[in-house]
Amino acid sequence: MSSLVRPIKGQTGVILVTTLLLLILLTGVALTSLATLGVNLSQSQNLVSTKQAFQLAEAGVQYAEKYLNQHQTLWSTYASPTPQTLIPSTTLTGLGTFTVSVQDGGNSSLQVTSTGTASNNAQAVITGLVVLGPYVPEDAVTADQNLTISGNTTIAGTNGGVHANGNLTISSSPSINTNATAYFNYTATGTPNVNGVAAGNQTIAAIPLMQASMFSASYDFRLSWDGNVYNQAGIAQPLSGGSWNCWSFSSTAPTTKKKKKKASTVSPTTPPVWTLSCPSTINSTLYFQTDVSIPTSLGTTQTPWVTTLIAEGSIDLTAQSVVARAPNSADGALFKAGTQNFLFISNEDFHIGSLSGGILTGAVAAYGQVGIEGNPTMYGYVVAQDGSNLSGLVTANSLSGGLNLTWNGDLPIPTFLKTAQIKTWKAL
Amino acid sequence: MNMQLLILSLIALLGLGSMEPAGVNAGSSGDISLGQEKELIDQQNQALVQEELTLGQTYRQLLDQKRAVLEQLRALNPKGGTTQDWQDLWENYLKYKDADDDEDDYEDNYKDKLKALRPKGVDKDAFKSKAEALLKALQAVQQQQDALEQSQETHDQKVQQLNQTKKDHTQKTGKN
Repeated sequence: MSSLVRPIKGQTGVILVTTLLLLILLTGVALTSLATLGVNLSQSQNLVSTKQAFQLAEAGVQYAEKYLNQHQTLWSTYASPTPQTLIPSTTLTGLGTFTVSVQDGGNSSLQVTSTGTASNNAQAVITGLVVLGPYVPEDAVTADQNLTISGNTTIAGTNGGVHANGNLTISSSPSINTNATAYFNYTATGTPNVNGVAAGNQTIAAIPLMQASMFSASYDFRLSWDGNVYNQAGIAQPLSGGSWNCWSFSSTAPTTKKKKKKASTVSPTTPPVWTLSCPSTINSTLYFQTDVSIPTSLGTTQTPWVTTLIAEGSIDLTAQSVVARAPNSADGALFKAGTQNFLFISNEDFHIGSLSGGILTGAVAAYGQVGIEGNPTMYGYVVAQDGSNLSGLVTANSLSGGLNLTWNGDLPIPTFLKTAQIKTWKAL
Repeated sequence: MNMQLLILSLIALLGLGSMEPAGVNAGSSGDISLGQEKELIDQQNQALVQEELTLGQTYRQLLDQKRAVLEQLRALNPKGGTTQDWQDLWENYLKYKDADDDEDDYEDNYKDKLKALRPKGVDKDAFKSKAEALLKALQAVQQQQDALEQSQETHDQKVQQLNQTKKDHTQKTGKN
């Protein structure tokens, strides 16, 4: 026992001192690590906040682009020498807010400056130049109201999508290369094959106003409501057997009038119509002050009908086969900058009936509704503006046939048809 | 529009009734030739095409305004509902505002919808105030749209009348 209580000899407390020193060192290291971790956490939080602020600012620029698109008529009032508020503080729940100011950007552009504010009051500022550029639709088919696809349509190309600013309803099995979207609801009861986004609740597609009279300076011949044909100089062209280059006039021909969408007190009076009555006509840009009916097949792949048809009424294509394309710059005098790449422009409806063959190349714009029942092959895009319900030819936008439409976003149209586009932007 | 007024004044001056071109009464005193009648119809047609363009521009402007306000409404709670939900709120609000005092259902529906769209943690009154300011803005646009629809209806009637006049003219010229 005595050995147990015997004082340790020859020991000078080295282990104790070493242990204490080691403990102090470890505590120091731990404290430093904790401090570093705290800094890193704070830095991470700041990074997240900064990133969120940047995303908010970016959202503000995108929102401003859409907003400016919708208010092109106020463009000049936004071009002030000093910044003015364009979009007041707007909250994106869970992220933060953004505000956007606007001022003159020089050379007909507007400078938008978007400030995103995230949690921790982290801010990011992005400034960009927005210009009014030529209209190039993102999708092959755009409707300003509802659109129904009930046929086995194929929409191809880099811009091979469909969009409705109302509801998009698909009840068949179309093949859509990019997106199938709607501002309101997207409903698919069929089995569509959509490679991109298929959803409702998406952003609005901006559509510029396109009416026949906006293109009236660009025609070769005007097919008048009075049954005569005039050139740009107003000189009446000779008719042969009552027709001109296979176009016949009628002010009494019955036109199919379906039930109108809205109750109207207007008693329908059939508008005059020019009808293509034989399979050979002139290559040219034609302006019709009437409805247009094309029940006769014409054009071949080798010799397509080169034309732009502009109608103050509706365009009804019921032929079995039409091969037609819009004039291009290689066509010499046939080409018109004011209507370039347009194939059909209608103030009312555009309808393709039982077309079983044919190829149509060019842009199609209807101020009323669009109905495609047949199986045409088309290159370009189709826009239904839904601004007029006067004609009952088409009562609702629909693709009910086997349309095969390809759109690669590569047909420039007249520069007066513009939409707001972000030209450059940078973070400040 | 001025052109159309001018034409209408001219027609009225000739005592031939609104939108009826002079040639309709050919044969009576104050006859005008078919050429003059055609010219008048041409002018009316031009005026109506111009009016169509003006109506189209206004239609698009109002539609864009309405959608912009709807977007602002949606921005109050982007994750809280679909565009359709906000449109439904707007429609419920209209019904509630148009309803008689004893029709409480409309008020209840509107308030339920508003409540459902309020983001969590956001002050109830502040949200209501912001939303109702935008709904009032929508109402103002809607009133303009209603007025425009009336103008469009009147325009369509004029187009129909002019179509009839054109038909009468082409029958006289043997072009029908």
